[in-house]
Amino acid sequence: MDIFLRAIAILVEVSILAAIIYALLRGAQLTVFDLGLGSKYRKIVVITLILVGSMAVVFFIAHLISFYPTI
Amino acid sequence: MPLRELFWAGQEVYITKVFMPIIIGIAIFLPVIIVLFVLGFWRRYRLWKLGQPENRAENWPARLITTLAVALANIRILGVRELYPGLMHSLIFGGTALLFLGKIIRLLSFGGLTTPPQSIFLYASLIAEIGAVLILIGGGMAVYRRYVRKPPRLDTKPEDTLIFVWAFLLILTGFMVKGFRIAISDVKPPDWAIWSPVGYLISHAFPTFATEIKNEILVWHRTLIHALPAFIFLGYIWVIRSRLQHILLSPLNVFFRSLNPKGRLKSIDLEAVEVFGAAKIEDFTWKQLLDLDACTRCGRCQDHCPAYLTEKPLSPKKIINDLKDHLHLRAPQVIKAKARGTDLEEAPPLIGSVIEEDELWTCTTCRSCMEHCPIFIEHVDKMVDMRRYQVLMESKFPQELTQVFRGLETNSNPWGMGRDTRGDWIRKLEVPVMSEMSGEDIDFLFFVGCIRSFDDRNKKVSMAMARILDHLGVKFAILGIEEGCCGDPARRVGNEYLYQILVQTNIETFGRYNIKRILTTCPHCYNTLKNEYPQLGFSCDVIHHAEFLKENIRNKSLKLDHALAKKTTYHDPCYLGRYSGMYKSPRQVLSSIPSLDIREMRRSGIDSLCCGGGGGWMWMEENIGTRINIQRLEDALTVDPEWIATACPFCVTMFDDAIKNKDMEDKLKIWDIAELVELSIFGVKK
Repeated sequence: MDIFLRAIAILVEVSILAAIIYALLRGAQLTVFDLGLGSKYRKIVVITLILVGSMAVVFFIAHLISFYPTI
Repeated sequence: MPLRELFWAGQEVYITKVFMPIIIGIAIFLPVIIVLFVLGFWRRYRLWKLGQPENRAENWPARLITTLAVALANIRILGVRELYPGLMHSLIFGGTALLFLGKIIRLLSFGGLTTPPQSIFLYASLIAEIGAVLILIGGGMAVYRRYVRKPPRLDTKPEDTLIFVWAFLLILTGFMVKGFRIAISDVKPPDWAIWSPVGYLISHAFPTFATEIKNEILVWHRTLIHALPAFIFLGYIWVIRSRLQHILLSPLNVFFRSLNPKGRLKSIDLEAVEVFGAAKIEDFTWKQLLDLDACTRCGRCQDHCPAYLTEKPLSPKKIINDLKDHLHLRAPQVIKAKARGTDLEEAPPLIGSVIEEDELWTCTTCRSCMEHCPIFIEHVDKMVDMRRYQVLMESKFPQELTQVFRGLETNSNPWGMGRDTRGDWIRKLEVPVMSEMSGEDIDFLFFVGCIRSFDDRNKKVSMAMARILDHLGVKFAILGIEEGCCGDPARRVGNEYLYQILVQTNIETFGRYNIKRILTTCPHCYNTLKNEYPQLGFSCDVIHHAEFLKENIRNKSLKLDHALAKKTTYHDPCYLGRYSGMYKSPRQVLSSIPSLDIREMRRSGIDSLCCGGGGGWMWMEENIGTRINIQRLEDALTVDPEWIATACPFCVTMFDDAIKNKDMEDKLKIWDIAELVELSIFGVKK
């Protein structure tokens, strides 16, 4: 039961972290294009940000599984 | 030990460890945010600088008072008809203010800046939590409205959605920091529950470490996860041209609003200027460009635009935002060319490439958009500026206007009817004419206006007014064939040149007879004579007959003895209501008439729908969508009237047409208030 609750807690924390990462990276994407970056770079920017975001989420999953308090 | 100190003591272990990094973070990030703010502002400012000069610096105290009233008290946002969005905005605004207040107090309370710091820390904690809850409620209302109800006036861009997500996460993580701190503290529950109710509530959800050091590390991590995105958010909203910049741009736009009379259009010095009106975005003034940037796309203007409501291609919101998008595209090229000293590639004209001709010409200049805009964006002025270029530089305008211009040029009336027939309506009456008077003093000049002089239906209003004046025994006279069009029809469709000729001719006539006071029954003449003639050097006391009748009824000079037991609704003319602020006087006149059963339409007062006759539409064919006068008649029919009353010749004509169009002449009549007063005085129309 404790393991189950811990998994849920980690899932909630990861979801929140993923949402924060999404917000930050989406903000970065909107900013670079608002500052005048040409639309031809849209695809590469999106791919880069998805990669960065995915890596961050994977890191947080691993980090939380390793270090999150036991219930 | 008192609970408050316990609370503080319980925090102290962590506050010194959590707050110090935050303060260091602020010391690093605050200058960065300030730099980003300056950068963001400069990005906007250099766009506005492309505009033409315009003085908007006079009367700072009045500007400041209105700015504070709008920005802090939200007076133009909160309204009965806009209760939901108004309340939503006020909750978010108030919540943000409280949240920041709480945060600032907490920062200042650290390190003994306040003595003792304990109590104020507690208050700050509670204030910040209340603020955050208000933001969540207001934000929830905004999300429901934008994504569930989806009113047509709102459009959603990716940045809008991001702001909702980001702001929600900041509040959530803020509560999580507080909740976790509570979870790992050893202070008794009641104190937490009072001073940090939400944090206390969610503190139960957090698993904690058994060792204090690990908990401290997790507090620090949680703080970082909250604070870092918060700082980045504050930087983001100033770098990107986000709608959250309205925090700055809206008060700025309110501050620099026009303090001129509402109906006064900008004058053109025809001999000094080479290009008349606005052909390209740089032809607008800096304030007009600020207007574009300040628009938050709330859509109130669109919701009240008669053209939009009758399926015409015009939406004031779209006009402003199309011009804004064009400004953002065009400006970098202009700035670059100026910096390099190179020739700029000629921009395609605004009309045709950014704004469609039908959009430009379907505006009735009713001012509803401007009156409903919470931040005083000046839509009509831009429309007229673009019309001026089309008319004066390109000679491109709806073909019906050719006849109007010709009529105004040759006979000083939009129909081109013989000038010598202007005074024909007085034939059956003994109305004094200025040219026939031998230097007698008069109380005022009765300026009849074109429609009241030439249109058969409106001539009856002129006659009614003349009888009332005669009944009152006041000394008045008309100009007869010497009267010319006041110039309003020419000015509103962009023919400033013709307008100025008409005005100068009238001013010469007024000067010849030493006119000091003018009475008129036309709100368009009233606005032009009162507010626009001074631009060309003529000022005098101008009275609208609604005001005149009200005064004479109030002081009992006019006795309304005859009952008129009819169900009557009053239509507010745009140029009397929204332009001149005269909503009460005509209603007071009507309510003085015995037995008159007055019923208000849903759209009345400031919300009144235009009759469809302004902005030159009196003389143009309305071929797109529902005719505005028919729509307005439908509005009136909802209150089941027998009579419709108004105080404007344009409205009388437009309603008369609409009633005939619907074959309702037997059931429904349009009256000017002067005619109803005449009926009530004499019993019958003479």
